[in-house]
Amino acid sequence: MSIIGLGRPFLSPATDLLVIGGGLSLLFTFAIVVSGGTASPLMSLAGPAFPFVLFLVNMTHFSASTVRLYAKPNAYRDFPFLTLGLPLLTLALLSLAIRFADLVGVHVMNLYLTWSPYHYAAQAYGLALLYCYRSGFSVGDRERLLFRVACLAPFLYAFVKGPTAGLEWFVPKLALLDEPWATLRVGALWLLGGAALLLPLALFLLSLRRDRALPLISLLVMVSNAAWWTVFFYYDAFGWATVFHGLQYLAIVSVVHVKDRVQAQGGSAPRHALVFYGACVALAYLLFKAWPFAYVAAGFGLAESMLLVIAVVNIHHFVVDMFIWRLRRDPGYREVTAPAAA
Amino acid sequence: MATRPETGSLALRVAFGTGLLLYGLAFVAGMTWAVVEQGRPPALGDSPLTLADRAYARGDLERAAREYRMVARIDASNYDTPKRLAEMLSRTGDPSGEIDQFHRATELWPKNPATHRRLGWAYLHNRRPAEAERAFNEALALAPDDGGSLHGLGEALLDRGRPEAAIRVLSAAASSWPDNAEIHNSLGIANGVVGRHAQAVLHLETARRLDPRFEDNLERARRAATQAP
Repeated sequence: MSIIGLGRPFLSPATDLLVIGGGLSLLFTFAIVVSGGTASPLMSLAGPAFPFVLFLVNMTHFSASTVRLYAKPNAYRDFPFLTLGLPLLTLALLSLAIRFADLVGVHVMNLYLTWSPYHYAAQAYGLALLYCYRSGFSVGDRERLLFRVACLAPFLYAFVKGPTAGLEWFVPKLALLDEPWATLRVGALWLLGGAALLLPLALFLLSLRRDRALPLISLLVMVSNAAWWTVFFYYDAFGWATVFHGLQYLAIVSVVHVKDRVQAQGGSAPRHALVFYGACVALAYLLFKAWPFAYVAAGFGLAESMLLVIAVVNIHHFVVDMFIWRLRRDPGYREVTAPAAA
Repeated sequence: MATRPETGSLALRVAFGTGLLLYGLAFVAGMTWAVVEQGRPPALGDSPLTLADRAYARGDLERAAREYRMVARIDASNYDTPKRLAEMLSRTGDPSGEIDQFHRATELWPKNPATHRRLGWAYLHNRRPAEAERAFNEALALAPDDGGSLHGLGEALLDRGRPEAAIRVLSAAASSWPDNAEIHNSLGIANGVVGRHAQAVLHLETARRLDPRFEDNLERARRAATQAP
């Protein structure tokens, strides 16, 4: 019997591979590369649809973490500050940021842009391990460390690369243009870009020495995150990576949410999924589309209102995710991580 | 949602209630403002840049410039903002601002030949042909057959007093963009400068055929040809 397998899917092998694993994004990346980059006919076709896809997938995935937080059983008991205090604090901080946008706007934006690749790395790490557990692939402390390094490499690549966020947020750009820093930076980018793309493969090859190889979906999750931050960056198509990250997130959060709902209330899974997605779309519209105009109505500029709402909702999402995906504390943990019965 | 906030301190519950109220008010205020001021609810494609573009199209240049500048200040990594701001500054007659913004756009997206080309033209329009030549060469390194960049490089070379080199580059531009009247006009002028009057007239006839605005240049070239020894 082959020791190589996809891993135990949540939905179906193809859906998990393409959507949660990121296979669809790799196909898209390949199409961009062979068709000649962002100036290609493919991008000309996809471009006009981008704002709508961005709203329905990426913006909706931000609101999904909030909807999930409040729909989670015992959320108010388990996360009193997150559920009760953070919304008002977020509102206060956003209002201050918009009021003093000239001074702090760029820093709020850079915080969001710097944190973003770390958040992607954490999602890739969590998903890769989740499929390992579900597929009966045991992960020791040493391997967990290797997983973390492999998933963090794309974050470090993005941090060093910038522009404006990451390293350039902390060190003046002119200083980075001086030697030897400029050469060191280019060297670090090659090293980190190579590590981002090759470490997941190395992990997979190492696992072949065991009786069961690393699930292919786990491998794919790590490779696609690395491709988003390296290849998409190179082709200036990174906006699409945010869509694929959102798609991945929406799929997994819907799976977990629907499992909870069906267990607690019964009913059909597609209906729960539709209600959940509908709530996420409605909240995304209010947060990203209506909320900024409230600040404009109050006399603030449109640019700072829209941009800082986006940045602050992102940061709120990063914070909420740090808590709601602590699966070991979750009553549904066994449900999603348990290997299939023999 | 599934549970009600039965736990948490009184302070947290008050904060939650206040937050809910304020968010509700903000959403209603935002929707109302958009409907009253824009005549429609916020659209999915609305972004600071699209709304600034709309202000610009309406002729509200002050507002458009304010929004572009604020986006460039806060979201400094967005390649699109300096490009759009530069285009606006170009039309409102702020050449140094235009060059700065195109420069910033090339820094943010160094692999885009169109931005280098636009920067080259901005330099050229502001009588800085040496910098224009550099920018057009950057564009051509990325897209060697780009007619617009070849044309710009030819103009820059002509301005720098190198008409023979300009003719070579402009001929390549005319091959990749044969229906461009301005390229033929430039070729006509460059040929006139080096004394090839027959060639100059030929190119200016083509330019005039493609665009009647070049009639005067053609007449001048014909006069020069008849007066030439």
